[in-house]
Amino acid sequence: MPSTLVHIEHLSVDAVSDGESFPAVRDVSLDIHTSEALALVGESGSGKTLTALSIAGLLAENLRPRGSITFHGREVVGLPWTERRALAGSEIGYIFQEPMSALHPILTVGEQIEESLKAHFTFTRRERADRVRELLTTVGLAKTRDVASNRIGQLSGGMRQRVMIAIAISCGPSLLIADEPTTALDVTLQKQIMDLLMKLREDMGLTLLLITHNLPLVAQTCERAAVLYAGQVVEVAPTRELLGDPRHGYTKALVACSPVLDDTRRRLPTVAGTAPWLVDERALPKSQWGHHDLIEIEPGRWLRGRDNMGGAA
Amino acid sequence: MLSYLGRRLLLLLPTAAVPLLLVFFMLRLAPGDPASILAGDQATPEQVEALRHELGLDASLWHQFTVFCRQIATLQLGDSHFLAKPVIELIPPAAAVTLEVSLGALLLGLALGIGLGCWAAFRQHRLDGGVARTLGILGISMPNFVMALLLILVFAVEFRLFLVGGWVPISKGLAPHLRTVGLPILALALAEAGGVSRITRGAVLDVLREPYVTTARSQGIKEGRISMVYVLRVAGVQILTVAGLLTAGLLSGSAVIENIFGLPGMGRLLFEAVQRRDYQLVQGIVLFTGLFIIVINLVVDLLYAVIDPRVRLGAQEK
Repeated sequence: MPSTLVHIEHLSVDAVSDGESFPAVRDVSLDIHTSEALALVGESGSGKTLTALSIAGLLAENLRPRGSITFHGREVVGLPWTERRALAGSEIGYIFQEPMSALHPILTVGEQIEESLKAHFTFTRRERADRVRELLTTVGLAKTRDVASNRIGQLSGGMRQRVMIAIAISCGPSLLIADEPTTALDVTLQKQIMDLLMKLREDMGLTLLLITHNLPLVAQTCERAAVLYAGQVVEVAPTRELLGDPRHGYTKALVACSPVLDDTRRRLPTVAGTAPWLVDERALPKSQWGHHDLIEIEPGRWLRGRDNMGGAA
Repeated sequence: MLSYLGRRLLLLLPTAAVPLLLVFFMLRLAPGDPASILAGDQATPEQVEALRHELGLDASLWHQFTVFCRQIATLQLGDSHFLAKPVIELIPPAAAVTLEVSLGALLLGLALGIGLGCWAAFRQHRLDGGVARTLGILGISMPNFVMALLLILVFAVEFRLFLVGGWVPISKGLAPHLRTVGLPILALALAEAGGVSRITRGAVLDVLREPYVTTARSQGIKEGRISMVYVLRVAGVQILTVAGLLTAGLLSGSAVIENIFGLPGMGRLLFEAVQRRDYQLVQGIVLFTGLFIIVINLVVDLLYAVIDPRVRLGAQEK
């Protein structure tokens, strides 16, 4: 039995605006095992990012988490930020989707990496500068002295994401959350960045939580995958089984949408609707897919509602 | 940085010429004849005419203009007709008073305004943040002369901490000096702080929504440090722009305040010079004020380059 790094139990996130509250994440329970790569899959608005932000404690003020998340056995939901801060960066590294907007426009690359080091270590100026160059080398950047003195606007897209990764791993975290790390990049860069993440994972013994809607990417990189739909986990399984033998109706629909190399279909099928529950709460799936408990149907395979094993939308 | 500075300095010359041209022609278009004001009610037309000739005011407008240009080019500002003293001697003592009051008000107003604005922004959803925001609006809404009268009532009349008016130079001791400049500075600063706090609050709230602030939190950087290094640095560019505009406004604001508090500053000097149609003195003061505002703009532009080095880089790429 693998040890558990993150244990999420009955996590809900309420989006509050103008006194009204809407459940954006509903009753998510999920374990992330130490040293595994787990994919969080689902369409936009399904609650992937909010679940990840909840783990890292980065939810905006109008998003209120309920339930429980333990990290290394320690409860982190409701933990005051002063204590939370000690985990951020040092234990949990976060890679955001758009490095251009997620990195500071005026501070140099070196200064931004150094801020992490200043927050968690008592290095001398010299040690920090050395560590910055070491980190930039680790993420595959050359001419580290130049890069460190550059601002983010002076770098190319791929370099920016490498800098983002350098910041995320700067303090040697045990969990790395990568929120669509390759969505903003073209295909060749996507592969390079994913290769880098996989290499870092191996070298540093990282646990990786990969948020994506790219199923082929999941197949190549992650041992397990969890499918989110309408703020709920609908299916969790080893990646191979999940993609080869999807059980939940939504997962089936999702897998059917992915193109394969020798595809003879003239048109790819689509999943009906675009997160309709975000516009109208009445559109939340009730009898069809929702309102069932997540149950373990075989060792390691979890499914929400046995009767959901039927047809796709 | 040096080439940036050089380019900025070159641009100063045409910028300085415009207000000078304007004031030269506007003065002469304005009704009222300096010679007859100077000669007094009892003077005969012949005496007025003689005086007009003496002052060079009977020459053609074009001739007067060439004389004016020559004066500017040789940095000779001429004599005040009415006070019978060189303009160059009249301006510095008055300018010292005005600069002390304006710069004092600028620094105090910036400190109060930025502090209040940050407070309102960082505690946006709390009661005290709302109070800070309301104070800022109060500062904007109240004209500085109303503020001045209120301050006089409270601090000079009621508590007798400051003098109602008048001027004691700093050479007569710091404490008596502060009792005369304290209220004028406070009156100008409070009005300025209102505007600065609004801009600061808006700018800080904008930056706080930026994804890179979330990234900074994900790095575990302390909130205070995020505010100073990540937020204020970006918001500072907007605040600086407003501070530059406000500084120019302070000069005109101080003219009103100088009259209320009876300070011998440039505002009062200018007011009196215009009433007497003292052409040379008005021109001298406008030249000086214009140069001052231009220098402030230059300082603001240089500070942009310090706060946001991309400004400088952008200039080089061109």
